[in-house]
Amino acid sequence: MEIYRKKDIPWRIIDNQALVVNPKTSLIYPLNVTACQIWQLLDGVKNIKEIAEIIYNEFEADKETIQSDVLNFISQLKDAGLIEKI
Amino acid sequence: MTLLDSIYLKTEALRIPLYVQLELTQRCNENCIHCYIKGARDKLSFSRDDKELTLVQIARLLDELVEEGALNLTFTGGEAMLREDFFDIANAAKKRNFTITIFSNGQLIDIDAANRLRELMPVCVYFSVYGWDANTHDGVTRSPGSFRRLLNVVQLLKIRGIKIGFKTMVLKHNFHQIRKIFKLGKELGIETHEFAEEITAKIDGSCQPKFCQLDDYLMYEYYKGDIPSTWEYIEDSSQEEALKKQLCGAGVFGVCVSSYGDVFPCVELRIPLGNVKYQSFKYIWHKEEGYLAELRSVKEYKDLVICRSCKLVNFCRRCPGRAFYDSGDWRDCYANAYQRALLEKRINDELVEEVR
Repeated sequence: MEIYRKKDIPWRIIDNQALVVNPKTSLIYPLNVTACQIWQLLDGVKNIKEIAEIIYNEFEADKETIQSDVLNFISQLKDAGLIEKI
Repeated sequence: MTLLDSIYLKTEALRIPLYVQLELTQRCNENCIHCYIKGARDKLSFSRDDKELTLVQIARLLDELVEEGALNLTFTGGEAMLREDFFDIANAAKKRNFTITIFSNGQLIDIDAANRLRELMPVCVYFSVYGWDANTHDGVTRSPGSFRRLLNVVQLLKIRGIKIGFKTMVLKHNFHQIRKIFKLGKELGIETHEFAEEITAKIDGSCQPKFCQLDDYLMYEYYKGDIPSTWEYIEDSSQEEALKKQLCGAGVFGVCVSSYGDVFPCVELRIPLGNVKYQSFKYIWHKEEGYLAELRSVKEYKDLVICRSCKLVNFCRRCPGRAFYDSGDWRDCYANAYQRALLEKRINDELVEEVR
C-alpha cells in the first residue's frame, strides 16, 4: 500500500528536521531527523515496507523494531490528517 | 526543551524567515480613521516606481522564500483582496506549501470568493472589527454598510468551515463598546480575537492617526479592565533578570515585503533592507552588515544602552518600529512605550496592594 503526503499540507525542512502544519486544525507537528526522513519518503511511490527498509539501512536496530516504529509513525501521521493512502 | 522549541531555535540561528508578511497592495476600499498605510508612501523606500509587485515577481519571491525555509505567509494590505489576481497569488503560495493567513476587511468576499477561500484552506482569515454596531464600526471605517457586509461574510465563511479571527483596534471612538465587541466575537464563534491599543504612525511619518489613541486615563481603564483578559500579575524581578527579557524577532525570523517590493524587518519597522524588484531576496536577507546586522545583534533589553538603567524594563513592550517613527532611531525609548510601561507597573503595584 503506497502512502503519500497530502499535497496541500504546509511543511518545511529545517536542518534535517521538519515542521509540518495541518491547516485545518492549525496544529504544528515538529519532526525529528528520522521522522523527517520518513516524511520525505512518503511520495506515493514507496510502500511502508520499502520505507522501513531504507530506514533500516541507515540505523543500527533490528528490522522488526524499525518496521514497527515506521508503521506506528505513519499511523500517527494518518490520525493527524497529514497523509493519504492510495 | 521540546523538539518544537529546538527547531525554532534553529530557525533563528540559521536566519530562516519563518514568518513572512506580504503586503499585496496599499489600496483599500475602506477609509479607516487610524490607518497607517492607505494613501501614504514609505518615508524610506528603494522602489524606483509606483508599481505594485506583479504576479510574476511575487511568484519568483515565493520561490525564493521556499528556498530560505519560510513557512508562514500572511497576506495583508491595504485590502489584499482588491488585487484582481489575489487568488492567483494565494494559490501560487498554496502550491508552494506555505501556511496562509489573510488579513482583510471582508468587503469583497461574495459566495464565489468564499468558495475559493475554502479551497485555499487558510489557517485563518482575520477581519478588522471596530464596533458592536454599524454606527461605531462604520464610523471608524468611514464606509457605510461595512459592518452589515462583514457580518454576512462571517456567516459565509463559517458555514464553509473557514477559521475566522477578529482584530480590534481599541480607539477613543470604540472604547465604550469593547466589552460588547468582545461579546460579539464570542457569540459569532470566532476562534481568535486580538485587541491592540497602540496606534501606529503613518508610514510616511505622519502622526495623524494618533488622534484616535486612548488618552492616559482610558489607557489605564483599558489595562485595568478584563477585555480581552484580566491583568496577570508580573513577578518583580531584579534589574539583571529583567534585562534578560527577549526583544522581538524582527529581521531574525520575521520579515515583511511591501507591495512595492521593499523588504522590511517587520511591518512596523519600515527601514528597507533592499527591494526584491532589483535584488534577490536571498541577497537582501543574508547581507549581514549595517543596520540589519545590528538589529540581529540586539536580542535582549540589556543589548540596548538606553534600557540598561530603566526601572520599567520588566513592564516594557517596546517596538523598534514605533521607536523609529518617534525619534528616527529604532534603538531609542519612545513616549508610548514608556507611558504604557508606567501604567502597567502602576496596575501591577495596585494588584499587590489589593492582595495585601
